[in-house]
Amino acid sequence: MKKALAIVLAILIFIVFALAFVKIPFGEKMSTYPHYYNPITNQTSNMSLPQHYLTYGKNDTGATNMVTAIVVDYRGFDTLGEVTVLFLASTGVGSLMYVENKVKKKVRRSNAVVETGSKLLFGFIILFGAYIFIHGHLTPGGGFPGGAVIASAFLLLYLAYPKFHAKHEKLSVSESIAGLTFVIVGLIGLIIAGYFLYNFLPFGLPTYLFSAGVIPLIYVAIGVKVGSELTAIVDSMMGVRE
Amino acid sequence: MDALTLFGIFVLLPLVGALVSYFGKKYAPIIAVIFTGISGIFLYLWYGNFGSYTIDIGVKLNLTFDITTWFFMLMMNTVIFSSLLFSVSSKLKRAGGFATLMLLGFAGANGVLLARDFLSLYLFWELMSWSIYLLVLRTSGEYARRYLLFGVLSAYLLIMGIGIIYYYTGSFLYADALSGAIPHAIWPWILTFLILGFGIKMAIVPFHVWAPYAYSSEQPFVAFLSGGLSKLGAFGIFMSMYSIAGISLLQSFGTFRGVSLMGYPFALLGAATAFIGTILAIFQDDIRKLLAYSSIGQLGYVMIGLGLGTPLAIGGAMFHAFNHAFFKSLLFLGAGAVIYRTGKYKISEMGGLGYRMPFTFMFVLFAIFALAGIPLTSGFISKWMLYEAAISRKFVIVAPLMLIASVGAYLYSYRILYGVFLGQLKDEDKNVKEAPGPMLAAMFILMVPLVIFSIVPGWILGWINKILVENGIGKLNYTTFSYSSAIGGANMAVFWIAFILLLIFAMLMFMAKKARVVDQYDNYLAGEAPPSVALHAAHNYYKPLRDTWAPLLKHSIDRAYEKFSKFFAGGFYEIKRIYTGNPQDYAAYLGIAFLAFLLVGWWLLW
Repeated sequence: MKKALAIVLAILIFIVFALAFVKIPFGEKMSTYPHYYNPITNQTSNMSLPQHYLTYGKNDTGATNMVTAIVVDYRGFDTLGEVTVLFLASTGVGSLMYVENKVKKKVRRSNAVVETGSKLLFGFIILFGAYIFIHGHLTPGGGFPGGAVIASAFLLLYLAYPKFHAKHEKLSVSESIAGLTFVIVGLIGLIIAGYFLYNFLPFGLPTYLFSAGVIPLIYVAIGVKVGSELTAIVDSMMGVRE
Repeated sequence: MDALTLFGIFVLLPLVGALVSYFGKKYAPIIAVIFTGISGIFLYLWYGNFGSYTIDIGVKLNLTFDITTWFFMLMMNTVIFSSLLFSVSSKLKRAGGFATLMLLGFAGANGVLLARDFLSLYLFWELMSWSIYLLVLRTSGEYARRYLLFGVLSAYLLIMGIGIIYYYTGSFLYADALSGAIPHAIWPWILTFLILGFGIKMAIVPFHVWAPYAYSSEQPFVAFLSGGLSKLGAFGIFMSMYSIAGISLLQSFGTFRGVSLMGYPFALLGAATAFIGTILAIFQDDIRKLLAYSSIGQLGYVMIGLGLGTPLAIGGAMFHAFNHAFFKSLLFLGAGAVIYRTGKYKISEMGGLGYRMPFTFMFVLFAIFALAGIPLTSGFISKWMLYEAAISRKFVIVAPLMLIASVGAYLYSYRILYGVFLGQLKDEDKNVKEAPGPMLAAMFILMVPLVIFSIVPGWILGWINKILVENGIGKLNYTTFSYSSAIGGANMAVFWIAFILLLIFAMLMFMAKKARVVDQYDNYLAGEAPPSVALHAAHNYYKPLRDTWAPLLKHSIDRAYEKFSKFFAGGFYEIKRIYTGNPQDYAAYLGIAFLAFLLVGWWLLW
């Protein structure tokens, strides 16, 4: 009875979320969207927004991954807000999980497969996460998925070793440095060209690692920030363990 | 005066104060007091200097400073000023954070009161709501989570109501809601969402379970929460029913004895709140919980008045909200002073403190008179207005429940009076001193309006009358000392003259016969001299009454919520058990998922 009701509730929640996704248009014609308006040059393009991005994106930003070009360059300021929201979510989880009398949870030792596997895989997962965000402007992926991958490496350690704890001080240091990098890069753009987050570095050759100006820099910062924030969330959700 | 000045003084100034006082360390409450004092001075100076300002920043926003806003701001400002003054000497931990969060809450509250558009209403509402959450979090994570659950529910209900309005009108202004764009059949949904959303902040049954926990945190904050911030719920309900929707729209849903069918269910809910809150308050031994349940009950009265919607009822509700702001924060501060000096929360462990803390006793006594509605105080007039509003329309459920709740209020008031201040002084409390100066000053500030408006209710009735006339509800019949209604009214001048005459008579009697002060032991034990004996029977107070009510008290909304949550937690725990910790199981899941993926993909491509 209990189980059935819980499953029904879970399915209902899933359906509600799925309904929200159904509303998102998928595979519509690009020409149905409004035309692109460039606020800096004050010109309206003769193409719709997605068409403009796909046609001129590489020239405008130097990035071959168009999603990255939109997230970090065209809509870079939004991304700064997004990262701030993530920071707020991490503090929110911290305050929600705040317990004054810390009861230590008894945790079972995990089995040998997980322990050995996590020891072997930890470095590779971190490397893979770093690869994803460093190559964000070239291949699919970027700071957000890369950071999530890094946090998953830490989650694996939490699952494998009951006594493992990421140090909050170190996490907040890496997070603050990453956040500062983002803002400082933006401010340098403001000083040089008069626009916040202006892409002031040379674009270089597309498909090369050192290309697309400041995009890789910002994406590395986002990757580190997301990684440490998600790790902090995992840490506060795990609670105090014995 | 323009919009920016208005916004600057009432919202930006507290925000600046919040920033400054964070670094104030020990002096943070003093800094905060100064900042609230400044905006308080402007509030008094700007009475009558009303105006409405619409700003267009892509969406139209509106700030309005009118008599309704002014009236509620008056409560908010006085209450937070005295609460912060109280906290100057109450040696809080991390006082900087406390003052900052209080001022953030104050800025949010002022914003809610000034806003006449849903966007800024929602933003300031959340600012206020989150600062409450963080203030409760200072005491206990569990209490804060209980508050948060209902705070978030309230925000969701509000955003649903706002969303429906915006969907139809495309504007956030209150004034545009009634332009006719919203279909008539949609209005009940909007009003229900808005009223319940605001009602949660007022702790309306069945959404009251957060209040006893949140009200158990630091007393200066609780005084502000109960006295000030909970009135925002009353303000929001008043605005949504009588300013946004308007009385003619409410009446168009059908009437029951002249009361809109849209308002009557909420009046019933208010009556249930008054009844349940009071009954539960009688049986609390923790003074904080007692005052919390009493607060729930008293706000039920306000809800009744807002639901009934006649001029007399709304006038009574406004007056009662005003009184409640002062007497309940005074009671919380008085309880705070007692707790500060003795370190005890349980009424049964205290006693006789009236001899040690005479001024606190005096202030609390007057607050209790107002709370119980003794016919000399302003609490009497507001309750009497509500009774008359219910009786004159012959509401046979609402009026009796209110009367029972009022009797209950006497019972729990007496419990505070006897259990804390009268009776035998406990041995360990022999060295208790009177509360420090700032605390007494804070309580005195709150008592002054109660006394003044007890003698001349006409002043406050004048403001309330202006509010009613401005929103097109009707008007009150009042003079400086009295008000009158179709079935009676009340004249405070008569009461006070009678009281003074009786007082003189009693004084004369007292002078004529020389009274002798008798030691408590002599009085109780007839001269016998045992070494120590407990004469104070505050333990298990009202047990006979409790036994009588036992069948009713068996049912509890708190427990119902807990059962509900346990039921679902149990169910979800069953789902959680698919994480067995066995790698072979996980491998099997992976295989099944892969198979399902293949099958679905194959089916889709075929």
